[in-house]
Amino acid sequence: MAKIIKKGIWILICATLGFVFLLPFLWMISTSLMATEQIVKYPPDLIPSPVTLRSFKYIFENTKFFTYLKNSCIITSINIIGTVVSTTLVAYGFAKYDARLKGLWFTLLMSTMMIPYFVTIIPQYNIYAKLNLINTFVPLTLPNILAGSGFSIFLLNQFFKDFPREIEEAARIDGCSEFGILFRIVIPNAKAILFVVAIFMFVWTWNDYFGPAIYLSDQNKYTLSIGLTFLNSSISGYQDALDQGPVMAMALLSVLPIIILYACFQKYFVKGIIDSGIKG
Amino acid sequence: MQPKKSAKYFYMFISPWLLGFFLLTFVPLVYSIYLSLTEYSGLSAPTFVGLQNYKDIFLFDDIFRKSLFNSIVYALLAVPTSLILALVIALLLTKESKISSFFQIIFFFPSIAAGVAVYTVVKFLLKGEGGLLNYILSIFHIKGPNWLTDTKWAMIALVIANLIFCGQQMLIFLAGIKQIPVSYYEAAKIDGANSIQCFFKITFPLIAQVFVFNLIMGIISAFQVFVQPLVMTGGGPFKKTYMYGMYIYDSGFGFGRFGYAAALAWIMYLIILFVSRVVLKLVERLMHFEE
Repeated sequence: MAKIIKKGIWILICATLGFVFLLPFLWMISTSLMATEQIVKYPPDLIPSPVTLRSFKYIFENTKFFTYLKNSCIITSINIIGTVVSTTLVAYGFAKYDARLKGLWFTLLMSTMMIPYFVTIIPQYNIYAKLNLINTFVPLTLPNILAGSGFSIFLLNQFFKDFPREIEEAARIDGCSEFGILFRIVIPNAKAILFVVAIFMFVWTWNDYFGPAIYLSDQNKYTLSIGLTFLNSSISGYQDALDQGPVMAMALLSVLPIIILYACFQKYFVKGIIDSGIKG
Repeated sequence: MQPKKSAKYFYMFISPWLLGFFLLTFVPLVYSIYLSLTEYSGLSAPTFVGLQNYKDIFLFDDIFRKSLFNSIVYALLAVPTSLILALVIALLLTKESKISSFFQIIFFFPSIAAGVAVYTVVKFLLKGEGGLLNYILSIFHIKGPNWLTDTKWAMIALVIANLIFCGQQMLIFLAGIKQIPVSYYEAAKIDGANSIQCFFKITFPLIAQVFVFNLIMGIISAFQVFVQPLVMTGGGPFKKTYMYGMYIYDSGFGFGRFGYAAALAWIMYLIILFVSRVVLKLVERLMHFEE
């Protein structure tokens, strides 16, 4: 009996906390489906009735939502491909080959992860400005194409180090080239960890606000996160500032891909955090 | 493989990173040191002013002091609270079961989705008039403050809102706890230890390393906090939540004083390095002491 009560209390605590953790998302969903009258009413409701899609209609008709979405998709795809390809090569190099200065390079790699982005962003901005690359996607993607994600390198490096050397040696004796070994033997076995790298890059790029806010000032180049703050600040100037509907609709649409990805693949998200946290 | 050949492949494989490191980290770092010694608006060429920026920052700049103070307060409040919550949740989820893993998925989610969208919603939830939190409080006859616009509460509101993003730390704690052999607890139980003793004598000492990792990562990111206060309070009211990162951003991209901003950024870096070093040393000493 005491055991059942204990379990009941435990579930109650977890469920209450869980509800609080999910509240922003529940709020987003319900408010974006409400009519204006229901949103401004007090006390607030959690269940929309009647359900209306007018906030979404507003977003599609009055903002450049599809432009923002397209831009976010382009930047995110480039970063995913760029990071997967480049960090695979770099991590493999660090894991399998030796050079006199390897230790130094690895220390540098790890210590660059500690540098606050505020330090590098100011000179970088000025360099990109001189090269006329402001309002392009170059500053937002080049770092990832050039293996800028220390997290990915670290994660892949761990995996490659654990990969049995005998298999590679056997392939080498059979006349397989170094790139052949990587692409035909190691990578087919690294799909899971590469997927972890890809989904984390997706989430980071998709959620990134700082980079796009600095480098993109042309509305046609905005990403979803910038578009959302833009909508938020342009709406709050009007008298219907209390109507959160459109902002919630856009917020929901912009986190929806992450919700879906997480719902399908949470195990990979967990793996990424634990592998980088515990082994590090 | 011969050393020479190995080195050739090594450099071939890491060349993307080497190029990126040189172009996007090394050159900007050196350039940033130089910029911090100049006055530079981004329009005309930088004028060398020596240590003037640093002198101005330390001697005359009230906003520097204020924003640094705010960031320190934020870090001092946000890091321990979210670490403790993460640890408590991890302890709640230690037993393997379907329900545990279900809740684990829920608690982890906000930290993955954290971004402008979520902060915007949280801002609405914390609204003083008609916000959901104050409505819930009013059911218990508590009159909630104007969380984000009251000078006394804005910082606390940011710290509270930050709590729901503790999922990553929770996972790392959980993984650490699960590595502890069950036999330790069984032995302790036979010796008559209660669960609080078990936590302080077994669990905590064995996850101390994980704790330090979370602590240092927490300090580094709390000190650089930017998007959350920007979206939720905009640094207000009366600059009560105006963080150091926001000041760097504004100095450079708002006021066009890139040299000054670069100097501010270097000071941030040095503070972070100093603080993490001190924390590490302190923890090391504490651990030795316990042994």
